[in-house]
Amino acid sequence: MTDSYDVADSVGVSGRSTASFGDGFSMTDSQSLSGSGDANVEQVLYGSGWGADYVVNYALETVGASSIEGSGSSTQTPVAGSISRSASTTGSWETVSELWGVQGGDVAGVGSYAFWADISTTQSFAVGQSVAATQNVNAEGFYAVAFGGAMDNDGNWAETYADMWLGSMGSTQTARTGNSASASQDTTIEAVDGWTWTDAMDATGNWAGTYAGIEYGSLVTDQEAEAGNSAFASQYSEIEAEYGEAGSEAEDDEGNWAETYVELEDGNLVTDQGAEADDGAGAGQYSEIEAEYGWAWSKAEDSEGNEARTEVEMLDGNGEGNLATDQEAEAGNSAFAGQISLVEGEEGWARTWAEDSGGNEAWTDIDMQNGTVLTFQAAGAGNGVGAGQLTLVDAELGEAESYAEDSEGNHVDIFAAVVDGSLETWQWAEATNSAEGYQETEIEGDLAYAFCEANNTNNNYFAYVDNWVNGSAHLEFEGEASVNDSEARAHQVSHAEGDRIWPWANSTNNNDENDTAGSHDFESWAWTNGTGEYADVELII
Amino acid sequence: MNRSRALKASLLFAALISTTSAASWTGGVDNVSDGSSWWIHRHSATMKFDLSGSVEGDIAPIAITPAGRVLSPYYSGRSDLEANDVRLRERTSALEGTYSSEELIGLRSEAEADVNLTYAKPAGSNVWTITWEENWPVTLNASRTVDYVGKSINDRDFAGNNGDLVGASFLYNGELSRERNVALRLDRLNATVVATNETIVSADVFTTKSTVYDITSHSTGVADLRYRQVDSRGDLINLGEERYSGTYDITRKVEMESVYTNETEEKDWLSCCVGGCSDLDPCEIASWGEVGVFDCACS
Repeated sequence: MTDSYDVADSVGVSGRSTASFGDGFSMTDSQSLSGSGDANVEQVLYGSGWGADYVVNYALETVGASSIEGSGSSTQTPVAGSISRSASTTGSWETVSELWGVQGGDVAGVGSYAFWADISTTQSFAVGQSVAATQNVNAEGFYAVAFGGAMDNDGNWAETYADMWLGSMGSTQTARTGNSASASQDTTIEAVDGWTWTDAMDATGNWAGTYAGIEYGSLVTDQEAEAGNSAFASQYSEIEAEYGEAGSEAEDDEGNWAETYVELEDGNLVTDQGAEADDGAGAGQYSEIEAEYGWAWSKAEDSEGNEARTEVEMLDGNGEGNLATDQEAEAGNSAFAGQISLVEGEEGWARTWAEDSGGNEAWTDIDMQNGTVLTFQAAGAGNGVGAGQLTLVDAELGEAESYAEDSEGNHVDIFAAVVDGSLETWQWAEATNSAEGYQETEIEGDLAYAFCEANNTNNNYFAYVDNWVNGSAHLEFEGEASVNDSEARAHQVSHAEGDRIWPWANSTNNNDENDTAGSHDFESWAWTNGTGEYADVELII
Repeated sequence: MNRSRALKASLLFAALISTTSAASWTGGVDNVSDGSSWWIHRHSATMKFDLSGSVEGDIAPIAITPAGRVLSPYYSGRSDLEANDVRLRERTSALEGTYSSEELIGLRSEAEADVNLTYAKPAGSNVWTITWEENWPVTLNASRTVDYVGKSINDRDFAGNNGDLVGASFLYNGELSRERNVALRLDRLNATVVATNETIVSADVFTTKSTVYDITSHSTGVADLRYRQVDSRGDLINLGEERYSGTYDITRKVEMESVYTNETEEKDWLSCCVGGCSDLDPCEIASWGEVGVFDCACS
């Protein structure tokens, strides 16, 4: 046990250490520190053999404090020990407090730092069967940091971090190693800027992390990360801020990557996230936003280059407006991104996108103005890409589109739109060495419009069918389109009611249409290939 | 706000360690400002040792082979006992003659009580006081008689007790008859270091102990008698060395005792001295060594 003091005259110090030799050897110590000015304290506890078993280090440094209060105690035997240290400073330029230790290659420690901030820190460390460090930090002022980390002798490590600028922060952090490594934090920040993260990586390279940050507001987050033949990160967050963001990331040792992210401006955010990497990667997220602007996305990319992404945006929540999302991303010899979204706002967008390593891509897209969107989206990549959506829009303007394009440039486009009304659509598009798409849509509004299109741009094979209804419109539309090297084909069946009903069918050079009103059923066909083409709109009833 | 950076104490306190069979501890102070350093190391054990015996015979040549090879006659013996810096050392070697001896030794030591380190620096002061307290008692009692007539005998011993020392050496004696009794007792130890920002001001090791060495002898040869007593800082305060060459009958009893109470806790004289001793009676706090007794001008 060694203590080193470098303190100003204005700092009072006292301490007592006791070595007990009766029933097995043990040592205890207690100490206190008080006064003002500068202080630099270093303390080291050694296990038997001067470090052969364990070493624990404590360091406290403060500069120009108007008040310093410190205390601590420890108990140790040759093979185990525990130590706790508390320190608080006010009016200091800078204060650093660190407590860490090592045993048998396992390392854990915690630390705090304050710059022009009042800080109060209670740190503890225990070594024996495992190595663990914890701290509780409260800081208020210009800048403060709290961090903790652990690494075991196999190479598993975990760390956690929180900082704030111009505000206050309270953080409880833990770092532990044994046969693995873990780190966690429970943090509250009210500041101009606040940032937190926790991550972990196991000995084989699986990595997972989660983070959250704010500007001009408050953040409550409960994070943890763990590594040990796998990696795991989780997070619960509440944010109220002018700007806030939160995310989770995971990457396995084979390069599969998954990520979720959410951000907002001027509002609230609740997020429940997770990340995982073990022979694959995974990311998840539950989000709620009430804000002027919100954005959430998830992304997965496997080691072979297959990539999938889903996202949703909301602008200017209408007071009751919000964005709620349930996302997930996954990668591992393929990629997948999903989303369940609810958007209420002046404007809203939702998209999925997938691209495989062969250059095939598919995406879905939803645009909305002044209304609500409820959508379930999905994307995939791998041996053929696909993107789909099940969407309900109730808005002044709503559009839903699905698109797929193969590596040769052949593509299909599936589209539905509504003006001043509601749109419900189930769409799907996929591409491998060809492309095909499908939609089943029901629209009610001032304007209803849906089409299916197939296009082989290399050979100029084109096929298009739609139905367009204006004025007290009601449209039930079911259609599909497909394209490959030899043909482009589109087909639809619909029931339409409205002041003007105007379905079209187009091949590369041919056009057919029907312009009518009332209530009618239609079926349309269009195709183009190397030997001919065809476009026809049939009024069934 | 006083932010004096010029006055800083940089001290290193260390350490307390132990092994399983015996116990030991080490403590020290390093002042990195000037590199001054003071350390103490103690080791003891909880143990009991008793010895009693006698010997009477002729130191004579003996044939060790049928061809008549003769082994030169001699006697030699040695003993070393030590616990927590309480020690007894004996060396004897004798040539042909008659030799008889009786010896009784009893050693008791305990090393189970806590060892405490306390340190303090008051706010507004640059004086550090660091104290170690040890209560590891030792008792060593030994008596020995020697009677010898012959060619020559060397018989030496000394008893040491945490810096104090008493001993006798009888060299090249044709006749030696001696009786010696030793009683050593160690009760406790208190080590106090006073340091400032600049240096270690003082280091005192206060041991409460007593040493009794009683000898009666008749010798023909050289007889050396000596004693030494040190103060709390290890400085020599009492010393005696005598040599008798010829035939002498000597009777000598040496008693040394040091009794320390915890002065630093009773009166904060160390801090006071740094700040000025105007209100402090130096006779009240001075060490009772040679200087303290004769140079203290108390009214």
